[in-house]
Amino acid sequence: MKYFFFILFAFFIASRALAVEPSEILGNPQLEDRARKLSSNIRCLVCQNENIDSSDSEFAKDIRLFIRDQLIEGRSDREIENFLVSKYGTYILFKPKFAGYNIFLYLFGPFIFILGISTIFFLFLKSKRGS
Amino acid sequence: MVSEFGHFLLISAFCLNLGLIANYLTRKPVFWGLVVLFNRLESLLLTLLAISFLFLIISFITSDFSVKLVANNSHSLKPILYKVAGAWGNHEGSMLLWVLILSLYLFLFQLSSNNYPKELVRNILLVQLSIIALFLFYLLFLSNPFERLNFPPLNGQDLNPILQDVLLVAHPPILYLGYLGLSIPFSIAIGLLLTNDNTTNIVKLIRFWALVPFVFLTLGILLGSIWAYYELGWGGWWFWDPVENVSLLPWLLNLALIHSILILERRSSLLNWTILLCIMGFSFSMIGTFIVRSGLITSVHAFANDPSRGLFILLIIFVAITTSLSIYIFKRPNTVSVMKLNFASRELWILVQNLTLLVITVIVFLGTIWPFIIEVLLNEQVSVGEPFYEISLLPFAVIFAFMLPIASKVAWKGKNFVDIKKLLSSILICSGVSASGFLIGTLSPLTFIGFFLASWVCLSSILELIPLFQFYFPVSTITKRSLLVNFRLIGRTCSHFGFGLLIFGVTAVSSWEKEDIRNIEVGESFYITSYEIIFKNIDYSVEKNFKKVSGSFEVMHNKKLVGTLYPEKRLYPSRNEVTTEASIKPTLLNDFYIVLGNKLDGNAWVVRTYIKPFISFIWFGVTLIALGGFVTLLSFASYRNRFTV
Repeated sequence: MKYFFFILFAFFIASRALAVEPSEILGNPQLEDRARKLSSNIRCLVCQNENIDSSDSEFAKDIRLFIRDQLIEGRSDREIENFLVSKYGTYILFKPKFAGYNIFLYLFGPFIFILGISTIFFLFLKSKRGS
Repeated sequence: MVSEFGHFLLISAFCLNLGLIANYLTRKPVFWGLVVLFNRLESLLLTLLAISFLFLIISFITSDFSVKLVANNSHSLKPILYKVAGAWGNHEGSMLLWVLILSLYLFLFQLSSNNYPKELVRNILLVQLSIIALFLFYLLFLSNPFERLNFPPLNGQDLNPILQDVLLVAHPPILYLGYLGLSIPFSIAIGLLLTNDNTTNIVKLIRFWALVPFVFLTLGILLGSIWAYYELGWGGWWFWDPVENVSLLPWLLNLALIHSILILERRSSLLNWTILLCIMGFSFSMIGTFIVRSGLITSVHAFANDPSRGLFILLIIFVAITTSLSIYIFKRPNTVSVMKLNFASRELWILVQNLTLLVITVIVFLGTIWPFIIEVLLNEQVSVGEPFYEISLLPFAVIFAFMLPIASKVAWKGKNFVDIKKLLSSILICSGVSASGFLIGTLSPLTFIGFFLASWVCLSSILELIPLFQFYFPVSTITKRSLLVNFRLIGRTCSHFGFGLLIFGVTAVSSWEKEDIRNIEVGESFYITSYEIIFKNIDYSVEKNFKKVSGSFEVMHNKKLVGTLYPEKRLYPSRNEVTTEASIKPTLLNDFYIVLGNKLDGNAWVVRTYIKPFISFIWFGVTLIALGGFVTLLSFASYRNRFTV
């Protein structure tokens, strides 16, 4: 009975996929590298907040395989990303595209920095003039 | 009975809290009889909450499943350690801990505030008591931890297996000591504004109470990061997940506060900005904690959220923050003192440092709430994750690290810049040191910049210790004064050096990490660089509340055993969940990290192996940052004795 339990248990564990699996890895290390870079920017849509590279879900696995197929067919990184966005929406990218309203997201920080530096420079000039 | 009594104590604490507020507002003791019994009523508040919390823990230890919280988060077979820690591994329990720590800080602050004007202390305590009242109200009426079930289940639903870890005991309380420690600078700032007191020097007070949470917050974040490193199973140590981001926000603002207060101390300038930082620090620790709990933003750490109550708590926080900001806007001291700035003066560089920290905070905050903003305004969905933060924070992190040695080298009110020759030669030395990194691994431009900054920060902070020895050699001149300066100097060096090590660790791990994923049978072995990894055997066993399968792997280097690793997979039957327990063998230079994956046909398994170079430098560096804060706190002990010796 105990042995049966173990087999059941082993089966249960085996039924869960793990993040990137050996069978998925491409023979060509350069392509695999590109696949990894791409994957780190692709969100697993059925998970909480994980990229497809580290997710255990079927969805993530499908997208990982899809990316690798496309890479073998010679598509560029941008083409693959654009295709995924057209299919699943911008939600799938962890790094929002530098376009539209996202420009605000990218530039707000630097804007505050420039504003602050100018203020400090202004204070600097003012104190110079004062002395 | 235990749980009813706990509930009763909570209600009494709430009444006492309101009584104390009334007491301070009317300036007349409302509970005169009690004043005779207890010298300090704040200590009674603390006692009531502490006992109440104890009762909650007792309910968990005795597995009283008629209490809803216990039934939902515990299991009779769970090890005793996790039964205890389970008391704060959920929303209601952690809220009780939250209120308990708030009142602990109230009590400690009152103890230490004897030397300050009565009126000021009264206002500060009033603010702190109001914060406690808000959260106690929320606890009692919307997340009562002592709620009973009409039909208690036979056994509990168990705690989320990911949370069943030794660090559950330490991580949340330490992190809360950090988050809530920030409430004291907040109360001091608001209390000061309400008092209209321009004469009292509050620098020491704010410095002390800003450093205490700094130490705890740093340690709390560190523990969380270590936990994620070994628990989440792919060996990352920072994921830019909303929960992590929001813990970083108050830390960054607190760091800015610790430095801006120095300008206030030396140049009596920047009072407004310092007060604003105090207010923002605690505001962000509230926003951060609850924005995630409210379920507005999805996170991989979503184990203590509850959207139904979330909006209410956001409302409370919104009211608290707008009130405090309005007080700031209307009552801030309008002293316009133009401080003299010079390129060679430290105040200028600390200003730039504060600005950089603020910008980093803004970017992290905006990135965290951006998906929410876009969804509300445009009804579209976007994600903001790791790649975004890496690219947008990198320039500011580089600026920050490069400035650090300069800011800490130049003098207050300095007029002459550091010798340019010296500066250039030290830059040259550091570049040389970092270029030698290619001996260990490949050296990309980013890796080089990282190593340069690491050596630049480390080297300069060590050089700063030189004046310390000059203090010590003429023994007769050792006075309390020099000791005081020395504690601060040692603390500063320690933290800055730790920051340098952190940069080094981060750069090394992200550049030189080795990964290997393969199918392997028991008895086989493989090589990663010069390390041989042998899959010895696989073993099934049953533990008290889970079943596990564990592999054993030997790591060999030059035919010598480096260590044996036992990665596991566990099945928790109570929740029918499988967790992956990575096994890690830390050595001084490398961490070996093995994760056991699927079983394939025959005796083969999927195995993921990582070699993470210098990751221990990250933990060690951050520990030094916290230690530096602690050493600086020691200088306050000598402050107190200074006039008596």
